[in-house]
Amino acid sequence: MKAGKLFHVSVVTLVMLYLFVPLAVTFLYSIATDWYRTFLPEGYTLNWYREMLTDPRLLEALWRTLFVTVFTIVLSILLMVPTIFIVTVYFSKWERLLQAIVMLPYAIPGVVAAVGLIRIYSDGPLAISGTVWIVIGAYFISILPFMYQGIRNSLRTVDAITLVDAAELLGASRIQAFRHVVLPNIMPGVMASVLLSFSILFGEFVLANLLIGGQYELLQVYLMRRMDESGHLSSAIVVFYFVLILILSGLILKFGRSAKEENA
Amino acid sequence: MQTFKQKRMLLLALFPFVIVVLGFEILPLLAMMLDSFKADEGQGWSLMQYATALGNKYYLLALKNSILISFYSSLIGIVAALLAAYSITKLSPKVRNLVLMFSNMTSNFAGVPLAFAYIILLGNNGIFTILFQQLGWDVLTSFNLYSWTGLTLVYVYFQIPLAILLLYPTYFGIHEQWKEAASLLGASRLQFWRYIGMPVILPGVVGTFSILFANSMGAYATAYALVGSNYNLLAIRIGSLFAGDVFPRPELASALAMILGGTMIAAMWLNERMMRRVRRDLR
Amino acid sequence: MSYVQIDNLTKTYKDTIALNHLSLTFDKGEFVTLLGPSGCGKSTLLRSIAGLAPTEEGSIHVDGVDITHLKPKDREIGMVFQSYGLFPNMTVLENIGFGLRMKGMKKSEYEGKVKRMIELVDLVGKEQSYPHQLSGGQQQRVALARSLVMEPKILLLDEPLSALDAKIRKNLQVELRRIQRELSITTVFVTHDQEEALTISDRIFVMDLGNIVQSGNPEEIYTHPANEFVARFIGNYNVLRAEQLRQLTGGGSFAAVSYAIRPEVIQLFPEHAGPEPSGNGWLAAGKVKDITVTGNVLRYLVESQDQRLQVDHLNTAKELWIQRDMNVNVWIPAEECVPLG
Ligand SMILES: Nc1ncnc2c1ncn2[C@@H]1O[C@H](COP(=O)(O)OP(=O)(O)O)[C@@H](O)[C@H]1O
Ligand SMILES: [Mg+2]
Repeated sequence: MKAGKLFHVSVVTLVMLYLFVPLAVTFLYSIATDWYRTFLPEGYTLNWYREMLTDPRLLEALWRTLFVTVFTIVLSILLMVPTIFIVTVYFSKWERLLQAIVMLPYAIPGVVAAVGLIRIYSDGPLAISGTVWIVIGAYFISILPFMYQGIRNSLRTVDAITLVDAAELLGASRIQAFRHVVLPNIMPGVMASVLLSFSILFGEFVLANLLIGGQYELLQVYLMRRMDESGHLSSAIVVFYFVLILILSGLILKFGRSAKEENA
Repeated sequence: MQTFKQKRMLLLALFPFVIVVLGFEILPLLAMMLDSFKADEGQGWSLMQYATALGNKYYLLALKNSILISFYSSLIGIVAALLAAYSITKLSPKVRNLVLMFSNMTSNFAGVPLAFAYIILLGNNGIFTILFQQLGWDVLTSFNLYSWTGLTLVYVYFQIPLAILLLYPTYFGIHEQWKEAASLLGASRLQFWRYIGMPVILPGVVGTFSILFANSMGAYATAYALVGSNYNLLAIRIGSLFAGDVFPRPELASALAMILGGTMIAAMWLNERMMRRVRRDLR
Repeated sequence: MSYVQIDNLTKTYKDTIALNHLSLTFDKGEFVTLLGPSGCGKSTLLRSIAGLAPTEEGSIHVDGVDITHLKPKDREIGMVFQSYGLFPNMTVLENIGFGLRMKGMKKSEYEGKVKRMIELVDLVGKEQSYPHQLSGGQQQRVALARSLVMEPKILLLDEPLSALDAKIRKNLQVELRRIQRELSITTVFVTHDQEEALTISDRIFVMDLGNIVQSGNPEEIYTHPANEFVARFIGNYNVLRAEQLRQLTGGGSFAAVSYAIRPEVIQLFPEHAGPEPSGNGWLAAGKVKDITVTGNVLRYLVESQDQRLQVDHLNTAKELWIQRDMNVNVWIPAEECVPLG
């Protein structure tokens, strides 16, 4: 009994340590003055963070990433919510098709997706290759599975059909009913998907690199290009990025939980 | 009943979504599929791209490398996660949640940042590398982060947390009563796992393995960040066929992409078939 | 010495005492029922007999052998769980043959035995089905066969019928008893349903708070409850303290602390005129406060001398004269007042 417990604790500790060490070392590296001769860093400094925060290139990359991400997610909500609502309520026989379409990107790696995209948009009437629009389009597709799940679930739990019927009985038009009744009610439930999409897109490298690369430097591409220049600075950026993910994960958990509690 | 006009309004509202999905998902995929069956510069139908991809030693090796590293990293990942996830179910709920939260966090730690972390850890001037040299330990002297073993180690890192998160719930499919019934019928713990426990979680394990395999088959950022285009992996080969936004050989890239996707589907199918052999109760 | 002898068994979970110095014995071939409300420790007792729940104190002997510290698989005890516990990845045949396979028998060796067992529990034709393709009742039979094929010394059944609907349940009760008689296998059956216990058992142990509060055959338990708990749990008895009964009957001497009166022995008579009761007993004026029909039984709530009594009569034409809010005479036969300890 006791020996069994000890075994389980050791296994978990070992695996968690394996996952923890790279993170810890990256963090230590980001606050180290010099660290290649000794077991622990020779000294500690916040200079790398200072340097990071004053690097205009990083700030630009951050703003670009933020813009692309927010734009994509807002677009996704604007298009997906009505689509899912209309399909589930009025064209339920198309639901399977919709599901297949939104789940497909889940099985398609970024490199594969990029091949077709560049092929279509590199010339001809719609030569948007190398512009931010092709990235936004690609990102829109890549977060489809997550956004679909979240929106679908919360439409179901707020019982959107009844809500609209009730609003219509009270004299609201369908669009009014949708805007004022359905949309505000599903937003808390959709929040978890939104945050998940944020963290996915902030970590996205393949599409960013292949579709526009240096022409419109996004966060991960910037990090990639900075890696060879200064290790310490890069580790500060990695830590910064990880803290960002941490906050997002925490928020996802919180929203996921409150959405669940609402259902209960 | 809805009037015809209402129906048309509703369809109109679906229009933007349809356009975006067509433009960025369906048409590019179709174009890629068609391209893969065309000769260079899109001159007529041909299987020559596939012949090049599968006939050329270089590309064939890339495919083999991709399959091998995906297989090994998935296997190591799943074995470690099987153990870890089971041990996690034995912890108190509080610790369990903490561990799961940490797994969830680290599952986001992949691609460029992960490669970077491993470079400072085990790269040529990595902290462990230098430290071990100074200590005179030679465990790491034969280790090279930029070798296949090194890359596998990094891949395993992003497989484990994902595998834990996916496998952990399947253990709750094992009812305590099955264990009790089995022990009353004379089965040892080992026999329980062999005849009941493992078969019961097998579908979950196989499904997870397929996801891990696909995950590493498609992985690009991690390998690219470690050594640029030097690894001969299928995903890297496809990526290096792009030069910025111009595209020297789109047909070949398309064929390689099709092969990549095909391999993932084949692996999934194979896994599923093997699983059905053991679990004949699942239709 | 009895076939099964349990002495002073004690088991605690954190601060709840699941078994409290519990002792009991029964004989070979008996069909024994543990009856008690939910949480009284029935499952815990079964599980300690099976070796699935280690106990802190006391001993269990089967056939003269001390099995208290044996592993479950060495006890030769079979158990059927409330939720069956069938292995989902195995067919009916494989489930039933599992134990024999674990003994090292080959399929060709145990197949005949398994087939006979399948006939016994009436599952011919379902050999190749998987548990999820069977109904609840069928799954229960598989679970039963899986235990029986091992020819255990004792068969333990933990509320095996409670997940089934009423009709199947009645059928399976009869089936179970038939099979038990056919194999004359010593059986411990757990239920919280007193009706089930009374119909099926050779002997009943009534449990409360981790203890046996009464044991006996169904007839004894039903007609002579040992205390208020049993009286209330077994038969909706009217339980009256001595002074309450004295007040009701307008005199008479009652030595015990309290008395139990079954609802069906109390008779009602018209207030004026009509037939008169005969025999030894007491007549008291009362008023019918409520009438409920539960199928073939009419249940009256009668108030008399500030006491409320439940009265059950067969639903026949003879009862038609009794109406709600009617004044009646209540007849309590003296020999039906069971003194409680
Ligand atoms: N695994 C357990 N952990 C803690 N308490 C338990 C456990 N199993 C049973 N108990 C407690 O022991 C008592 C007896 O339970 P049980 O034997 O299951 O009752 P019954 O089967 O008669 O309903 C109950 O109070 C129950 O809450
Ligand atoms: Mg119980």
